[in-house]
Amino acid sequence: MSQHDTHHDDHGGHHVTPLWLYHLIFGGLLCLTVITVWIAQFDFGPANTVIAMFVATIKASLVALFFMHLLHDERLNALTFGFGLLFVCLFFLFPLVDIGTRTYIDPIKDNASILKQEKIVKAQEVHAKKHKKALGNLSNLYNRSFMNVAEDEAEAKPVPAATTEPVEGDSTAK
Amino acid sequence: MSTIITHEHAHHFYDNEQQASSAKLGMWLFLVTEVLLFSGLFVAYTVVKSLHPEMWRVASSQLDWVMGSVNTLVLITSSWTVALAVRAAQTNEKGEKNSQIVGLLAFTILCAFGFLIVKYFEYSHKIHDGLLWGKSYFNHPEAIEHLKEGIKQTFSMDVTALSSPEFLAGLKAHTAAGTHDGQHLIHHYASTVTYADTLMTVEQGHLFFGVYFLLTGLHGIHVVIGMSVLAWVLVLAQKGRFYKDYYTPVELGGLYWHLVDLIWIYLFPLLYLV
Repeated sequence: MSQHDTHHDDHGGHHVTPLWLYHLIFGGLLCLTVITVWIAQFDFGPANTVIAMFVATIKASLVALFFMHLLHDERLNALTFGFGLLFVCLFFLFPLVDIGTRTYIDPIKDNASILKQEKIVKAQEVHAKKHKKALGNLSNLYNRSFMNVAEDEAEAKPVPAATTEPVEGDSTAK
Repeated sequence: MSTIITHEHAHHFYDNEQQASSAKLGMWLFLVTEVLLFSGLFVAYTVVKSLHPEMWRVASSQLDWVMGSVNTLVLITSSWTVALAVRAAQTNEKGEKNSQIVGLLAFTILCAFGFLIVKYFEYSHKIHDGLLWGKSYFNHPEAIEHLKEGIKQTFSMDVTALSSPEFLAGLKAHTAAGTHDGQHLIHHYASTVTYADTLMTVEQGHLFFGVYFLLTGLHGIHVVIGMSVLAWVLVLAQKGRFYKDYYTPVELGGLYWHLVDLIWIYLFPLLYLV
């Protein structure tokens, strides 16, 4: 044991948390539970989840630091647990980046709200007007390569991709 | 009762203390793997919720927050008593605190029982209402009714229109159109946004209950394991095995029980209060 604090008794060098501190932490946890239930009754939109997670993290920290003795234990235990939490954060990071950026690639992938999709499509239309020519060519190429190949072959008519007018409504990136 | 059996440390350790601290480090490593096990489901929760936020709100309103709160209080209390049991073992000089350790552990196990009983009532209520995962959800028409009721309460929306021929025709067209020509689809349904959103909410409700049952089920298994571990520790404590120089099983069993509490501290607001 590396612990040689002043409030040590002769219990083999282990830190013994005073009783009143356990009771205080217990009271704190009860209060925080009441607070989190009370706050949930108000509608702050997405902030509700943030507040709830903030309160939960305070509660979890109290349990880990005092009930699980991480505060006065050997540092290696806290370090081990901390590294575990770091990897949990990494685990969360990549899926969140994925679902957070999907709508930029394809608005249809976002099932969250049709209204939101409409907004994104409108923004893309504005964007498409700025780059009409480039996008028009792209969509022609796209249509030729995937959809109209059979038709084109049957008609055996060469399609000059660069001069074809871009079709309205095809500008949505697929 | 008031005697102790002294503990001899294993031959490859210098003393009891080194053995105890090694065991505790091992326990923390195990707890990290437990956290990672649960984090997979927490990530699933985050992904599905952010894909269907409206549905999530409606479906979670079907959970009973009173039962969730009671279980939170029960687990926090048990966490407190198990921490006190560890302290009693830490300060047990000659066995005078044996009965205190036993009593605190017994109370903790009783709390775990209480938690499981509340969980039993919750689960049987959900099963009765058909609020289940995957296919089971669609096999219970009453589940759809419950979700419609939830939409009505959460968004103060009239859902009687859901049964109208107009809505059903829209649903057919929606399905037939697929997701290929999204722009066309969105313009077509701009006037029926609420219909489409409602349809999605009712259709995807099973996702919430899938995550709910997986998370609470895995947590419930941990409660049962924790109870068994603490019961074993209780039997040893009754024999007077734990005193100031040796209380590793009480401490590690306690750590496991605190982890069960930690997970629930996050589960409770995420499932019951969103």
